[in-house]
Amino acid sequence: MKCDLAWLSKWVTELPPAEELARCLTMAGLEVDDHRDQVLELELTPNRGDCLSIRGLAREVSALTGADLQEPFDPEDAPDTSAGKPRLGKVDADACPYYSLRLIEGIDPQAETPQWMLDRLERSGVRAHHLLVDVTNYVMLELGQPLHAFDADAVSGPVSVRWAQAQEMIRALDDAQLMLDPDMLVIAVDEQPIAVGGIIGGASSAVSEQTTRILLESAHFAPEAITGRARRLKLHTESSRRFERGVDPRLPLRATQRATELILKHAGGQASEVAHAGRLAPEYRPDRIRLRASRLAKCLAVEVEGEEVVRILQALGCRVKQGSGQWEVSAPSWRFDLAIEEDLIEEVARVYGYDRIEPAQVPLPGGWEIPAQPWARQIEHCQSRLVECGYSEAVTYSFTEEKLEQLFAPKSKPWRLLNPISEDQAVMRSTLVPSLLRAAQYNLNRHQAGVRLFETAKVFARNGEEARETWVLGGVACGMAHPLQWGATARPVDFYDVKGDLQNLLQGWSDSLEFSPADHPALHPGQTACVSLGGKKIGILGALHPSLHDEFDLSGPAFVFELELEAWSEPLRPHFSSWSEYPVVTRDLNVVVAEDTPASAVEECVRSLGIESLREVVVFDVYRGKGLEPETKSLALHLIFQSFSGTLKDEEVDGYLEQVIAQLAELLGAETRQWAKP
Amino acid sequence: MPQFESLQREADAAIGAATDTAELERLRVAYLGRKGQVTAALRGLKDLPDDQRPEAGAEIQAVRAHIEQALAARGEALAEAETQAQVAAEQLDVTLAGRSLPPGSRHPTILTLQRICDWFSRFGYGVDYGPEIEDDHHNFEALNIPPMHPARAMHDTFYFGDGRLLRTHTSPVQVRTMSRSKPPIRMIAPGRVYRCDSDPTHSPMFHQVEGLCIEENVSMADLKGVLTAFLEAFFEDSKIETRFRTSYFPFTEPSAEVDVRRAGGEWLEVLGCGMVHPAVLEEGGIDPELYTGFAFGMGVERLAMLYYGISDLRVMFANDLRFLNQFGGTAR
Repeated sequence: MKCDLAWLSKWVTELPPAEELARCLTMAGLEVDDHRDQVLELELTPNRGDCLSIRGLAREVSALTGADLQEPFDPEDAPDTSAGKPRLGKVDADACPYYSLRLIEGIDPQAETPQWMLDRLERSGVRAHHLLVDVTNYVMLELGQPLHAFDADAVSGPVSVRWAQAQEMIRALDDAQLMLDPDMLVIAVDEQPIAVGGIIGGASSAVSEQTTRILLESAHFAPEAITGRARRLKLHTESSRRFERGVDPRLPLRATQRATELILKHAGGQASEVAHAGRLAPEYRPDRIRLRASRLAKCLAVEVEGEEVVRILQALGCRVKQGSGQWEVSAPSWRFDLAIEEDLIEEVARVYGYDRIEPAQVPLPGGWEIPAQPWARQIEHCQSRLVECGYSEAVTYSFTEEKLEQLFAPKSKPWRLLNPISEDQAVMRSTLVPSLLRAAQYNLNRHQAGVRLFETAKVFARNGEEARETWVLGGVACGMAHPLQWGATARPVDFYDVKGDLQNLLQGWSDSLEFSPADHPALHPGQTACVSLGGKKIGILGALHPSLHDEFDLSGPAFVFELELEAWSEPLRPHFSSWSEYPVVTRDLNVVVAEDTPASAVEECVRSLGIESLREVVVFDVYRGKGLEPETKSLALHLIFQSFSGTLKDEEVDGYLEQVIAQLAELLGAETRQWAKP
Repeated sequence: MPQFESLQREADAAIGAATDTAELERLRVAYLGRKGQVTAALRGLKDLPDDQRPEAGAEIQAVRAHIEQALAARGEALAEAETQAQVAAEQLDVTLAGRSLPPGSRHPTILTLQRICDWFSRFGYGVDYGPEIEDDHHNFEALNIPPMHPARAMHDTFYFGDGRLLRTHTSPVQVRTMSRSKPPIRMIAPGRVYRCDSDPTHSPMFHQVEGLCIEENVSMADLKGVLTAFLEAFFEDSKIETRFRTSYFPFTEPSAEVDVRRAGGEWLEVLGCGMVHPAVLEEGGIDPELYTGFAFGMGVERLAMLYYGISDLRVMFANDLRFLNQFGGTAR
């Protein structure tokens, strides 16, 4: 809210310079965003509804600076010169503990708002209308009490305050048709609603520039009867903002008197007696709060003198009764937020000054440990290893387009937001891959030759009624394999680059890491592998299905992976093993097999012989084409032999080779040719 | 004897003319090898008359020694020259770029999140987590924000329509931690949070770190001590000014916002904190008469932006490599 300092200065004996005042209020919890041109721009927290007026701020300034509060006008009521006291119907006393109406008639419709009032309204950020509306706004800004003026000629009959009927309709001041809920208050005449209580007036009884008779409404609505309703109606009125936070329940009569005085003075007319239902609240809130000196000292770790505590609380309008080592405190009617001991501790602390509390030394580590989450280590490992492999860490939104979610997880019933910001952020994702592909697309469109990205985040699924949240690692690689450089052939990234990255990532987490052919609705049927660690399926690696290239605006393949982090076990603890010092013997073979024979089967076949001195089998080339039958391929195998018990003789190794060749022929129908011995 | 003299002259000439070590080796074989001339001459000694044999023998041995020496000397010179030539031929342009797949980079938000957690870990704060799909109870009610509370207006919440919602802050982790632990508690909770708000300065998803400390005699002085030390460490500036100003959060009382100011700069709001509200302690099964506690929460993107000098929130979520590449693997 805006606070005109010239206006405020009428309410306190002495006002510090704007900058000092802004600092002082900010430190005490009334944040001042700006103080240019002698106008404070305040950002008030929802507990301080009592400061939404010049008078309320003046009270606060007085408590903080010690300056006295002063009343700038005579609160005497205007004489009742009109006989037409309004009639009231039934008023719901819980929702509306005080309701009042005053008739003012004989108003000069030509009367203009005085310039000083227009200036103050403008400096408070409120648009001028015409005198009657301006006065109600002015008094609200000045005292904090929302007022409403009905055109008395449009209100025929007793006015009552009741709960709305379900789906009851009213056309509001701003011409919008509102449909009300049964927990909203209406002001009604003969069942016909003329206003939504505490929120907005109705169009049918609105005052206009022809109005000469008004009913001036001033009421106290309980915060519980107002809060949340305006939001539901998509309305944010000055009135609802104040009633939601709590308006001083002693104000209504005073506000009526002040508004009457201003109207009569500037537009003439006669005012009736005030008709009211209910009573004005007492000066202090009913509950007494105990404040113990020991608790205050324990919480703040400073000794605030007893006298100082009493001075602060009294300056804030509290009634304080001294007890032994404690005080009995009654909060003033306008402080809805003071209810418990800690509330008073905060009041004392903020007026005393948070900056007067000396910071303590940081305590040494205590004895509290939360068990480490199983995926915390995995996340850090992924971050460091994948960065080494050339991947950059991404942060993408947890929500995605339903269409993308369906493409990648057709069976998922995603968590759908009731109020998404847009349709492309409507469902909680069950996979990171589409978001990462979008990020890759973004970068390729900005002339990046190659993109490698990863993200660690939660994905969301349903487990019956429960939400299941799982930590996963997602990654994408597309475009060129390396940055353009001399001495290395430029080529696009391929499946085996990414598989190699995953091998590097997962090495050391289990003795067995396997990649086996797999299916995935969004991935290339011939280029997809299921990743298993220690025999447990942990995720998937594959090329994006070519039919989805257009969706992501891709001109070439993209390789993606996603691994469940919680499915990994602990990394292995290395167990030392010795090695052989005897010479190594190597042999190379060309193995011609059918195209659909996987390399792993060839390796498996060689190993199945159980030759003890066979250390390693490496496939170092794959050849297809000239010199080979169609539908066949030739794998070049490098075999490394080494014995733990002595130097291997050539003849021994030749013997092994014969076994290998025979086994490959028998199990895989392979035709094998040995390379010249090295 | 003249025939030996000419052999030596011939050998000297040949050795002197040799241009590489391979030719020199050929000459060694030609003179000194098993079928070499000097070897042949030595073998021929036996055909000489006895009286000439000792003298001739000495002469041949002298020629042999001479040739050996000449070969060695020439060999050394040639080897040296060859090394020189090889080195000269192997000159590289060291300014050409090294071949590599350059490492990727870390995301500044996640780096910042980890820096924050690392600092608090050193002071005994354990890392805890909670779900992102939360219920109304943990996100609001247990934090002293009943259904109609105006503070809910400060949280533009995403709902699922079944009572569940996306957590609007990491504070619900406080409730979960308290309900399964006994004081003393020192907890830090990093994670994603969501607000239904999207414009150049608001993102519908961002990160927070929550902190909670509950012990027998924890005061606002402790809260100020921890956060002041943290902010000095975080901004790597022991002269940074901090100020605690009164604020309002339903789950802390007293509450404060913390601002920092670097030499010559403006006050910048960096986090919210306060003493844990007794209602929240009770909700967590902790007796507020016995224990006191403080809690704090900070926006990770905001701290990252201040620390790295980033001016636009949107780049934090665009995953643009031109941005990410500025935070290489060793970035701190």
